[in-house]
Amino acid sequence: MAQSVKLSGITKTYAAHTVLNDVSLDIQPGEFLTLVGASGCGKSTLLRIIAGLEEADRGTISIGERDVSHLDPQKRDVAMVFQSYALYPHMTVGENIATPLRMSRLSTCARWPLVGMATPGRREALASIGKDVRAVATQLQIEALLGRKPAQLSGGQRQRVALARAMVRRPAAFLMDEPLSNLDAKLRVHMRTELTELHRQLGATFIYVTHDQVEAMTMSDRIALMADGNILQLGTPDELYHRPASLRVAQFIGSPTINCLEAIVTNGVVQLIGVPVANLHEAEHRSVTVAVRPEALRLHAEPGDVTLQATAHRLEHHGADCFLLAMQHDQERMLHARLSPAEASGVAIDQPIRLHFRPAGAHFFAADGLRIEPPFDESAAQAITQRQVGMSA
Amino acid sequence: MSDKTGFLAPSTYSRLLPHAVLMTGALFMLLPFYWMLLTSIRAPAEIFNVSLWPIPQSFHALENYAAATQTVPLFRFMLNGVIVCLGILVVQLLVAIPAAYALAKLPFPGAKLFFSLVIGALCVPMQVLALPLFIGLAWADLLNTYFALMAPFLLSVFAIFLFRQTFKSYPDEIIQAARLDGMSEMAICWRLVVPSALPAIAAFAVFSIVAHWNDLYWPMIVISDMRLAPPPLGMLFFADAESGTNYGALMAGAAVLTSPLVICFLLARRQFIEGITMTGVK
Repeated sequence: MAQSVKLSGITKTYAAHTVLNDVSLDIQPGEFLTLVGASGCGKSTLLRIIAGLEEADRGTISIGERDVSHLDPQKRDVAMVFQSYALYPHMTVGENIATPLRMSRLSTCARWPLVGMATPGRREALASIGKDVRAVATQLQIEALLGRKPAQLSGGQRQRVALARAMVRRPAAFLMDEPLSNLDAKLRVHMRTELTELHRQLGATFIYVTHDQVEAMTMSDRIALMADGNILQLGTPDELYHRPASLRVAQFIGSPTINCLEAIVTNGVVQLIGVPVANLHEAEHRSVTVAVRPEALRLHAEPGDVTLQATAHRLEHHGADCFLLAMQHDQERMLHARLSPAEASGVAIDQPIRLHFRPAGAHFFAADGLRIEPPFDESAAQAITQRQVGMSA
Repeated sequence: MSDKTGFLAPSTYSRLLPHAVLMTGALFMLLPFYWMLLTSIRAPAEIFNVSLWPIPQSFHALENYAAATQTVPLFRFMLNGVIVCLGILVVQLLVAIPAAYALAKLPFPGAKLFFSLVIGALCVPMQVLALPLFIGLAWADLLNTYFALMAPFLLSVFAIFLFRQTFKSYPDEIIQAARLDGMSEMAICWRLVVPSALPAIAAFAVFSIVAHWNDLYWPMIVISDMRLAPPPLGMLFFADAESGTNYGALMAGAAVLTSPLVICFLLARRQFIEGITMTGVK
């Protein structure tokens, strides 16, 4: 049964270092939520606190309707898949998968090596465990491996066994701590699809930790982007990409990294290299960062575009598209532009080049890093033009 | 190895040299054992013969071994040795393994203090404790019991230290996975961590058994009843009983009492060496 997971006010400090700072998060039943961030941002600690492997200094965790903040890990009804898979090395695959069921379905007495044999109901319990283990193994296509030891398996197979061990108990929520980072690149892409598919089949709540923004973008229903123990933004992959709440979010999400340029604000007009780009209602900003996604930079100009002078530096061919690295002249920033191979074929390396973007397609961030939304309606555009005329006059 | 001209390549010499040195050393070490076996089959008249020739002029093995087994209860000594060694080892493992697991993997207040106490206890020699232990056992009227033979060795700080170092390297994620799967800390310790540490446990078992099979110091203090004597003390009783004259029988007894450990070593030679090299690395 998919359950909601609710975190409120989770705080954790190690010595003097605050790892999690008053984190609250509502995860819907059946949701695939990803905690993403650079290493040391607190995402793994948060996951381990949900699992019960570590205790928060403050805050509560509830799974479904139950407050589990102070329960032991096994009573929380969550399963975890670890980065190293954490399979029991001296047990066979079958025994590994059966372990959580043996713990929950056999009495303490029945688990003893010899005494247990005589325990009533042991045979039935073992039969039901065997049946469930085989069912999960079939679902993940690892029936053939049930008799092997983890050391005899490849990375991808171990990953499946770890998943099977988590799935077999039908937990309220799955917790995954960078489960794909030990796989080679090709298998990782494949397992990404497979995990998403599995999530759809099971309809269970998934909480997934990764440092890889591509994994986060491709798999999640929602992403919580974390830094320094705080959630910077919580939203769908689309929201994080197209409406980043802060400059740090914009820089973390998207590859290549978003292009950032400094602009000055005079009389509420954002001026980039002396060219007015946008009109702000509030006049208190002094300087803003204009951030442009690589695909928003174009080689051909359209009316109303802002133009950047640069020198083409290098071309990276990626098959379907091509990345142009160009040194922007005034601020000496390396710009990334995503071009089609046809466009890229016309670029001459070490020659001056003009890159254009539509101001409404850019993101604006105040000096404190927070997003500001300049109004890009007709009147604002007119205001810009009028001031432009006024200034040039 | 050798080329057609019959000369050995220089690298072969450099490989043979260490072996030659080691073999000379081995000869010196084996000589007393050889002498023991030789004496045990010689007639009294031949005992002081310096010849190393393996076949005695008159073959006296039967008489010597019969004398040894009839004068003193040799097999009783061996049984005592087995009871004491196994008793000590079992309790040592039962106590040291959970203690080492707690020190290695469970954060609890005072863990560092306890570990320093363990290290500190490693520095206290047995002899320092002998007198108070003897007085305590005498006061409790426990002298001349198997318990008195085992008591000082039941808690091995060396085992706690050795196992703690081994358990420390066990992956934390597996322990956490086990906690999520519902295993108790005891189950994690005995069913997951111990199987992975079997080489270290085997190595410790070797040290423990050898040390207590061969121990003479403590049995001499607490045992005066011949029926409870472990092998070395038994040998001492035998030497006394014979007033040290019948060397043939004495050496026959020594050969019998040494044989179990030698046989054990020959049977489990590989594990033995693995265990000891491993403790060397740690």
